[in-house]
Amino acid sequence: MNGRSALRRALSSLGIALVAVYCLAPFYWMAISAFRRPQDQFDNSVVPSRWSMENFTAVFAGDNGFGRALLNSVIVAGTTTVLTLTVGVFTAYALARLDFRFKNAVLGLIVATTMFPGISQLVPLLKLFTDIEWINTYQAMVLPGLGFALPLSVWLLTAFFRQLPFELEQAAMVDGCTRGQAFRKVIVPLAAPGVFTTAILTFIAAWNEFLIALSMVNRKEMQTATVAISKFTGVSGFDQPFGTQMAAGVIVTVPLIVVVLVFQRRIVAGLTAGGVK
Amino acid sequence: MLDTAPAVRKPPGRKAAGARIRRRPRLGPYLLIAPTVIVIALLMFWPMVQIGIMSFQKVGNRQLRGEPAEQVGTENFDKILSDPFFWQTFRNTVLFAVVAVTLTMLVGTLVGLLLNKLGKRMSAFVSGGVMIAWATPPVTAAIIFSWLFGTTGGLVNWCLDLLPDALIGGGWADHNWFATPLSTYTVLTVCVVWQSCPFVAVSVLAGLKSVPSELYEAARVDGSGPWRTFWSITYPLLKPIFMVLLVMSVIWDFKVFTQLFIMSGLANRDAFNLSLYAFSEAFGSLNPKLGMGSAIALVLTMILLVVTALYVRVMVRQGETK
Repeated sequence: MNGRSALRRALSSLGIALVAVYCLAPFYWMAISAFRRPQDQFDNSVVPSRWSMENFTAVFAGDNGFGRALLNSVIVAGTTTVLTLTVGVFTAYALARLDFRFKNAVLGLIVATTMFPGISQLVPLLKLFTDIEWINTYQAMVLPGLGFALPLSVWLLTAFFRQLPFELEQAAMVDGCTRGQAFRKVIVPLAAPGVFTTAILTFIAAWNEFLIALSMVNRKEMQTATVAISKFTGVSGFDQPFGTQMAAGVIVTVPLIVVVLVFQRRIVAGLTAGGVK
Repeated sequence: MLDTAPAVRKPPGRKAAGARIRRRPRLGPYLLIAPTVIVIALLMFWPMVQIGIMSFQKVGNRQLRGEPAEQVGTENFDKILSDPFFWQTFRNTVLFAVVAVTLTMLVGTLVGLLLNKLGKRMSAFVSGGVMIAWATPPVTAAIIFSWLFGTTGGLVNWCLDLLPDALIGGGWADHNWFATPLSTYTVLTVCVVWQSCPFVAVSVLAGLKSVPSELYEAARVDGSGPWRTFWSITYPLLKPIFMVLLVMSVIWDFKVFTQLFIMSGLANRDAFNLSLYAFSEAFGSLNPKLGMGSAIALVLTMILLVVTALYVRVMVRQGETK
């Protein structure tokens, strides 16, 4: 019995080690490659022999326009998140709380659109935005982003709102609140965590978006960070600038990772509420 | 749940009108859902209709300059369906989805089971680790894995070269992983599974937390091993979760674009999947063929639509029973 439990423990440690290596090693390798000197790019030591910030300086070098790209990403992802939440919150409240005809049909249609492949939205929207001369504008990236983010947000918010104790709302109305007041004073504070989680998930999705941002923009000043990384040509311009790309990858990814680690429990709750429950 | 709100809200003295008001369809909910419905109609369904129309048209440079589109009937579809290259991309898409979904579900479930076995603090720590993979932007992930599997100086080749030659053969030092579609898709699969298994893992973990532990104790007392326990207790209880995760994974893996675009690009036609093929036809050259691109996108959408129908049924039904 003792031998078996020791074996069990060993197996589970091995499992943890394997999972940790598979999940963390690629990210670790990116971070560590970013801190190597460019001439050590092909050095495979686990810790850089000489640490250097050179790759990070190269990321922000003049012709990359990476600072501007980060700003664009913040603007596009931020605007998309705010718009999505503003529109989605009311719909989700209605879907979770109120009774009306075609409710399930509406919910079904909304869920169905989360599956549309990006490419089939892109072709007509690019043609339309070319016609009305919206290429190289923020709205050309924000509006499709809104389209992609809204169904998922509505679904997540609906799942959150269903869990709220609506008896409290009724209690408030017994005490003389109108429905609107009950919503504002009781439900909104209770719903805030769910809304916040949805905002994080929407922001991450919008921040990571690539296909739309790649196609709607052909001027460097309007590129988002993800597109900018994919187009890096490096310092020398001859070989692929992996060190620089890794450094840029770290810059783009680290804010998301900090958010994910800080709000881990909320995000997991959000993912499982929207996807599973 | 018993909804007492209407009875409470009604002010006294309007009782007679009450019955009539209740039967009248209320406008409120429709006003609340209208903005979403309008946005989705304009940004999701309108393009879908356009894809349908354009797939029967020839839309090239001249049409983009404002000339009316030329109706070509089913010519676009005739062309792609009789083109072996289309079927190659089709096969790439489907095979990739099958392999990646299987691995995602397998690895994700195993990680989820492992997380459930761990103590509270360790579980939180490891799930933090797997969430890092989930939060990494696809572009970054694709670049990391191109770098790991790089021809010169890639970590994977370096490790494989260190292993004894008798085990895996020699010559790995400058092996080009992106030379053939098969090995390109191997790298793509490793990358996509890396990013999508955390979602499966945390969902399975959340499901496992809801299973009463008495069931597992009873199984252990009865002498059931871990394999038997999983299939007799865990799987039946978590089946709805597995169903949703499966369908979502299928849908995501059919749509994969960014990672493949970064890894093998538009030049490597042999490794195209349907998304990349549609993109390349529509915008990839100086002679854009939006009609052809639309037709390919429509085929992809049709595949997804079948999966989606299943998905919506599962999701909405679960929403109702909650």
